[in-house]
Amino acid sequence: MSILGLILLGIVARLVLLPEGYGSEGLYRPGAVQEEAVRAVRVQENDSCRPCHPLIGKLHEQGEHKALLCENCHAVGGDHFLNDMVIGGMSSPCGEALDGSCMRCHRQMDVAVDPEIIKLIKGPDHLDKLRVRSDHDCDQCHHVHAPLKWVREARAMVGVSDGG
Amino acid sequence: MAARTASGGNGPEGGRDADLRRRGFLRLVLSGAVGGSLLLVIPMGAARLLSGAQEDEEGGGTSNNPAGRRYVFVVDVTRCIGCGTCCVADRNEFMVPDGYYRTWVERYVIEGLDEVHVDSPQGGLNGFAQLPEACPGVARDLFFVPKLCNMCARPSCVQVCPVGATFRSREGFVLVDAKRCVGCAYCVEACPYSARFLHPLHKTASKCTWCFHRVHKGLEPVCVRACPTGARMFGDLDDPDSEVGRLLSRPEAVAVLKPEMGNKPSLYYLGLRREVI
Repeated sequence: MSILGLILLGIVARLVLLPEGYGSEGLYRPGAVQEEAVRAVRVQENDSCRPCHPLIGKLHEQGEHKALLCENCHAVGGDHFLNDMVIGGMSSPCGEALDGSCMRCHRQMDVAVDPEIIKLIKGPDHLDKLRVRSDHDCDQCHHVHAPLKWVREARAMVGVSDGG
Repeated sequence: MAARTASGGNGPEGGRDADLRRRGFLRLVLSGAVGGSLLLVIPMGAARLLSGAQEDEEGGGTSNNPAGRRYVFVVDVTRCIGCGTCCVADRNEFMVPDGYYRTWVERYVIEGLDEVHVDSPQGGLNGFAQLPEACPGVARDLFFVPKLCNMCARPSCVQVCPVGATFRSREGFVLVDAKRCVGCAYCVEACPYSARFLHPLHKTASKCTWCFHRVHKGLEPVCVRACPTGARMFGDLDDPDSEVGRLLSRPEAVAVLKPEMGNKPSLYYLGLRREVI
């Protein structure tokens, strides 16, 4: 009686305590894997931006920033476009915010980084060296989507090579 | 028996009855414990248990992995510039509440011979514009170390979870079943890498998943995708065309954090300094 009762109790406890499918893949509920797998992707790939922004997209993919995600600077795609509809705006930093956005990656610190990896600058030194006013924003010389586009065009106009 | 009789206040007959009842009770408890354990374990199957154990011993093999992939994460410390873009992207992808971090970047400043300053203001979300206040001198060395879940092959968090809410999937991802989690935070305490926290709104354990949902859809983890210098890399170790496979097959110094803990992380570091913990 007591053994049978225990078995029955165990079966009932298992039915109540263990979720469906528990143990079929491991000691967990298999549905949890699927639930995590279908989580919405909020930060999109650049391909999802290009259909609506072809000119900027083309410029971006030809420039030095081509490896960057659009959303590194422009907030979250998932808050902007969903189910083929624009559902919200996207921020575009300008002025001091833009400079902060650029300097987040390009600020020269005491860390030793291979210059082949990224160009690092010290704000005032960079402007002094190039004889540019100290209140200039980055995008007055650099196209943010293709940073050296205008620089190269200006050099070509005055007949200076890239290295000059 | 005499002492028991005296303390019980019943005669010798009463003591014997109590003894028998105690024995019966203990037998019942033991039978219940053994029976209950068996009933819980039976669905796993002995073969699966054995294969799982073997996989763990091998450090995350593929015997129990239908996809046949062995995912690893590689962080190249020498490429990290401390911009914090990875942290912002992670925050955007998962809408992580303020003050909590699924991934973060630590700054190590070495002064003199052996004075080490470590900080991570706001998890590195806003980058590292200023030197830490506690570091007035000239830095001899300065470097950044991104941190995230180590996706251990032998995870402490899984071992301590009392309800099976934290688990290692067949693909090797350590995930949290939010519907099962009771928020006891044993896993938060057990993780040697401090990669877990209790979500303040959901009251369940939360942590980096290596963007399982993105990987499942054929995308890279969002921090890997957002990193401007390629300091974060992710892929299948057994894929000869993958960057991580190429990097980890080279005779370079590859390190894991806290190897002495025996968790067997799947997160590897290139160029890791001895000061990093």
